[in-house]
Amino acid sequence: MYRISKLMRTFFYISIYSLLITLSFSISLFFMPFKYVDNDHSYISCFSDGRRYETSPNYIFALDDKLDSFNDIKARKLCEYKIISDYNNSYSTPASVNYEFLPVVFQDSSWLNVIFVFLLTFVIGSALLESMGKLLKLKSSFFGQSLFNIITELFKS
Amino acid sequence: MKLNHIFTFIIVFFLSLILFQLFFKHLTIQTYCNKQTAFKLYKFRQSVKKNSADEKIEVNHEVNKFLTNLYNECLNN
Repeated sequence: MYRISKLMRTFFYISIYSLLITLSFSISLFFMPFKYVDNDHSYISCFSDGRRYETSPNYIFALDDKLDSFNDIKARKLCEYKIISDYNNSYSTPASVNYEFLPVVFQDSSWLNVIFVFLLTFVIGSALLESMGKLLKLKSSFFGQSLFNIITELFKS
Repeated sequence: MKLNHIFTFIIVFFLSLILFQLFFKHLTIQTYCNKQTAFKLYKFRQSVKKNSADEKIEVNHEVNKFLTNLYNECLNN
């Protein structure tokens, strides 16, 4: 009987901790770093005269380090005719690319955030699981016992 | 640490890996890419507003198409 109960407890903790690690890992991955363009500090450099224009004050907005077709046309016209916001298409679009896009790229979040979120989710989840185990009158797992010992020591000091 | 604790840890690690691959990976990547593209669009809109450009003209079909491509690129990476 004792052996069956121990086996069930081990099975409970293995499955629930696997699920917790998976959940913590998944949640932490939401915070993976990615790059984005800062439109207010990016430039367009024209091939013809080498002049540089700020993008956003000239109504050129970028979503990524490459321009979409709509903003690409605006950049071409800016370099060719020195005009902005030609929404009526009064000027013809230059056939080839006549500029270089110089984006200022920033990073949102970091890998440190990912590690922090993983640890935070895992520790909070473990504490909840061990409390749940106690409610179900299960003995703490080896990991849970160690975790409680660490927390108790922290509060003692 | 006893040997069976190390063994349990290995089981938990591999079980987590299998669970992630089978049930969570797709959803996690989808959420991450969704968040990433939404953030880029937010920054784009912020810049449009700051420079007093017309949002209805600037956030158009071409921009949305580009954004969809960005999202798909993120999913495939």
